[in-house]
Amino acid sequence: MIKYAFTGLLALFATSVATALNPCTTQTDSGNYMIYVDPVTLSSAAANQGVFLDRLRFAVETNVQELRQKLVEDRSRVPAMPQVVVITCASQRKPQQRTDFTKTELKTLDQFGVVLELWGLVLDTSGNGQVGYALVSATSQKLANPAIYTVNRVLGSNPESVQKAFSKDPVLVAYATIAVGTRMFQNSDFSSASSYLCTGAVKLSKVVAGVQKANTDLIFVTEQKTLLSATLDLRNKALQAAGTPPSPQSTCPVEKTQ
Amino acid sequence: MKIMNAFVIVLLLASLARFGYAGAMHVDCLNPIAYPAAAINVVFLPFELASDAAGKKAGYFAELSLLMQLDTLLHLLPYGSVAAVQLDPPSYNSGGCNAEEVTRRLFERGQIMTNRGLIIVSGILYQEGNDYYVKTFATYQRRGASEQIKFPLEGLALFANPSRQNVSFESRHLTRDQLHQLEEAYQKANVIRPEPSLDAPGTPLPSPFAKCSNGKCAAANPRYSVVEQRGQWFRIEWFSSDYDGHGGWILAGAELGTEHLENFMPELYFIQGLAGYVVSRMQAQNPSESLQTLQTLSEQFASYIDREKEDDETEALAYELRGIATAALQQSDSGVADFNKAVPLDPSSADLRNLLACAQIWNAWRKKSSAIDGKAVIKGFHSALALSGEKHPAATNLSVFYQAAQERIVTNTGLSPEEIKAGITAIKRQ
Repeated sequence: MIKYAFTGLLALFATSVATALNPCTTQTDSGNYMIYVDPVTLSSAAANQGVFLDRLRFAVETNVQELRQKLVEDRSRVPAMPQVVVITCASQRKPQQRTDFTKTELKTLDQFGVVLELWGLVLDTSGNGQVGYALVSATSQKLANPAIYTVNRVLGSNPESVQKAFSKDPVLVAYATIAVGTRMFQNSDFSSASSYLCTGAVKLSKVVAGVQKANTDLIFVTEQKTLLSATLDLRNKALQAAGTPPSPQSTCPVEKTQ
Repeated sequence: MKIMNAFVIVLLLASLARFGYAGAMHVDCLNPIAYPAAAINVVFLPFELASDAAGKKAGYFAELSLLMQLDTLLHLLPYGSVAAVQLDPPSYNSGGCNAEEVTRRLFERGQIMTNRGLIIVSGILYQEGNDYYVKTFATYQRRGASEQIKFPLEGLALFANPSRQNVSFESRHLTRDQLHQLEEAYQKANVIRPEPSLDAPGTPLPSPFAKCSNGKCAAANPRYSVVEQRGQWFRIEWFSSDYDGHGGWILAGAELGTEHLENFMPELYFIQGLAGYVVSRMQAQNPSESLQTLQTLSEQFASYIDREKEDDETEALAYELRGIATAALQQSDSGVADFNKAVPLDPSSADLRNLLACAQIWNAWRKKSSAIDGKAVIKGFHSALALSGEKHPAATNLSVFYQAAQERIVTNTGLSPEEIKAGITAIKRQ
């Protein structure tokens, strides 16, 4: 299970000065939804953490491969669904903190059809890493301001914990689903948006329930509950816009969280 | 070329009429082969080494996939007409040794016949000093056949689909010692012997890239049929006359030290159960065969579930596939118990919720006197629709359920005539 922890480290790195990000790719928007995956990098304070860098890179690579598999499968079932393309960014693009995603940057990404950007960062010599998720379309639709989250990933100090560091990332799949649903809403495809937003909400609520049960990170839980609530609100708007107002029959089966 | 393919298929059909299962090892990944007439082919790709910092693939690791192929074949015996093939890495750097490309080539070359099953197993190996981490992927399909399952109800029918056809397993840790044991197991398995004993001297299995000896090179596609099994050993016969002798014995049961490979990689149990699932979906079996198939795949999925602690989604899929097989073979509770366990593990799956509702209805109908919680069934279909949209089969299924309840095809639903009528009216209004 991923170790979710929003610690003081976040604040520490968030205070760094944001620099303009280099472009991810020269590929242009061709009607596809895009997910950017940045190279895993070391934070400026860290040095000689090649091992942790490799571990986080492998964790991200395998989870992105799984996401690609899911997207291909989704599309094979629903051919009308817009293609979601996962793009590996050029090595010069190195976001390291939330503030790297300025309003201008997020607007540009939104215009390019990017729905989600994912990056990884090795924080220190103790094996603390972080995976960041910028939900571009969700920010554009004001599900959060901004909808950018970082999840700490303990990169391991012994083989068992290293193996845990390689575990599946349900957050990535939940965020990708919400991001695609939000973009569908943005593109006035309200019917598809409502089902994607519901699916994303159910996935996210399972993650939240797991973290809540483990009682590991209250800040994460609070933040994700806000996102969950906003996702369900947007779904209701999508239902309204599709001409099928919310009803008991259309209730999204979200697991109850306290 | 087509005539050649047809000839090969006829040859294979004739062979498979005699032999229930077959295999091939050290097949070039860029020229994959399979057994067109086998009910199910399980094809193992070489494991890729994790990418380097620049994102380039560093190479392959084929020894593990050979052991997995042999071990899998050993456990597929109860399913009858099965085959397992192990592919070696390409001789040159190519992007063609992946699940999509291998599937495409197998189909293009007529290696998988219509309605026959194909499971592709691939993976990544990450090394860090003395520790190795393995991540396995599997994908399954029946060529040209839908995985949709039909639940007939006296002139009506409900329809459902499995939630996924791609599986990603959790990573597994192997120490250098274990990898060394794996190499040793490989050295033992990669030999064909005159007797089923490690003391019997043998010769290495032919490889398409092995150096030619005595001016004679091994043929590229070493097909064999398994003609006898003794414990962990197979006796094989080569299809091709290019190989010396008529065949011999291969040690198929892969062990690391004193433990079975499955203990380190529970996904092998899943892959065995998955093969059973595919077989259950394609054959008209007699009742005793059905029971045998179901019992075997149930045990294999149960072994996986017992050992998998961290992966809810794949555990849910194991329950789900076992449930579908139970329903397809018209056994026991039509899979209701398994679907009930799966839904909380993978609550965002519309297909799973639809499957549960369909199985509940069908099970009640099959066992005429059984009661059914009609409101729970309706809620299940509504949840599936909320998750996936109106084009999902759950929409039609809901309508069929109301009709079946109104026409008393399904009874004891706990729904009043007024509630049934209101439900039908609501659907007509949409």
